[in-house]
Amino acid sequence: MVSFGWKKKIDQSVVKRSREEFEKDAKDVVDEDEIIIQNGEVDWLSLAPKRNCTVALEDSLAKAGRLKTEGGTLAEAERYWEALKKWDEALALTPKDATLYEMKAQAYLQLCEVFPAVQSASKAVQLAPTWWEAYQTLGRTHLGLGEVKLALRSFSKAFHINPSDQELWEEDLQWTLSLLRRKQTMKDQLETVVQQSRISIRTVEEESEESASESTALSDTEAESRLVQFTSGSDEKHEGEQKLRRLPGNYVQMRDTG
Amino acid sequence: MYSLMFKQENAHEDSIWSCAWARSDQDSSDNIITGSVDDQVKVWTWTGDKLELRHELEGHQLGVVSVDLNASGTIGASSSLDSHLKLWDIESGKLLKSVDAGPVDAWTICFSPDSKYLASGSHTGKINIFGVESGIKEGSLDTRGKFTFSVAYSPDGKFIASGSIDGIVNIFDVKSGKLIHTLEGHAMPIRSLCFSPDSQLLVTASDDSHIKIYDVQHANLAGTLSGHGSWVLNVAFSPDNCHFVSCSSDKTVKVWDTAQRQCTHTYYDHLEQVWCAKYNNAGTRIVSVSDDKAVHVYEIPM
Repeated sequence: MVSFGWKKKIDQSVVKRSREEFEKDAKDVVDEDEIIIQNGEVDWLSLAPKRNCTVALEDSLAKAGRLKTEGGTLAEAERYWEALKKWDEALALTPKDATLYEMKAQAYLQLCEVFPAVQSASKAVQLAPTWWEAYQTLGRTHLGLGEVKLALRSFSKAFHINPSDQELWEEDLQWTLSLLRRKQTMKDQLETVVQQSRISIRTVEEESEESASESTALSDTEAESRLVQFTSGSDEKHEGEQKLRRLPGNYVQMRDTG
Repeated sequence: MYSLMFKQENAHEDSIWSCAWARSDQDSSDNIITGSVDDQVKVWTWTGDKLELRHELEGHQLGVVSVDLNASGTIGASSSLDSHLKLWDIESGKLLKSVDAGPVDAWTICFSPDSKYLASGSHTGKINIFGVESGIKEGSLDTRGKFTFSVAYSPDGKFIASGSIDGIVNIFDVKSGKLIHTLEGHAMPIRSLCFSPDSQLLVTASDDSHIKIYDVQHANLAGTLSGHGSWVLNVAFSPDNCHFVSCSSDKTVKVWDTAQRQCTHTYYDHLEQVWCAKYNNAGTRIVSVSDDKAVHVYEIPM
């Protein structure tokens, strides 16, 4: 490939020249050092190249365990965010530890970070399908999310795995069930109220019909007088009359007496 | 050929916990009943190459822990976490009886061989026996132990075996109602046990991932089988008296040879832990249900 090579060449040669000079200087320095070394006036350790790395004092499992307990103590002190950081570090070392995810879920739940709590808990359940406490935590996060039915399922699964835990049965499963029942009764109440309101409308309609039939049964003279009253009014009153007929009977009576 | 014949995906909305398979004497249909945490019991008919949904039985308020079919395949029974036992007519899908067993007092259920009684484990360690006709508790056997996870009738109707949460197996004589053997083979919960068709052997499945075979008459340990990588959740004997099937939290279904005490085949088809596996009447098919919401039917060579 041919291009403007001359610039480059000059550049290279400049660099080469300066490098050589620097190397010459360096050689002089090294020579001085060697003299010192030969005289035995130097501390050998200071000459060893300083490497920028830390020595691992524990294997990853032990480190994960330590981080886990550290996180635990932080969580006990209600420093949940710091605890979560520790557990995340531990998870980087032991990504298949279900207990870490479960603890994370609990911490998130304490912080009211509901969605990440559900995510962590479901990850724990996925990793340890025979661990009932993971299901219990998952259920509690579901409750935090307001998914009562899902929570009930999770608690059921936990109880199915370990039916001897009374706390799980009474405080989680039964309580969730009572929540669902309360919702159902409220729904029922609402429905009855709606139905009652419908019934009341119907009765009014029936009454109005009755009153209408009553009014037809009124003596002719009275009816005529009413007609006279209505017809004597203007056109606007006629419209008003049509409106009045739809209104309950007693209302019309009130107007009449007035 | 050992093979997966048919896979019914999303058979339920959620994990399926229990299943049973029996041929109906009434209309000679091959019926499978499944119970799930979604509160539903479903009845399927096996047509020879696929499953057809026959009934969706609704009525339980919590997850269905256990289901069973009687010997003639006409009545299905289900037990739920809401502590109710329900009996269903398989042909019409109607509810025959509903029994309130008391709080947490209905766990694994099984029909007696004559289909007159239904045995169920309970929280107090008692085995309650309900009359199928009467729908009431007609007797109970006291293990004096902890939570009774599993119960099984011997096919000759002489014994009832129960497995508890602390790993102890009790064998009762049905006639006298007396405890005749206590076996302490496992240290962890026994989620399932079953008798061989000739009632000579008892197989137990435990959370310690081992399966043990006992001689019923002398209560001797006849063998310990290892192979599952996690809890063994269910065991069921083949009608040919030589094989049994087990399923586990390690997502596998294993077929074992009782004489050789060896695993003859392992199915790796489920995606989640497998809660229950059962043979059909002829011993030619196995049905299994799992947390992955699927019902599998396997072919096995005779």
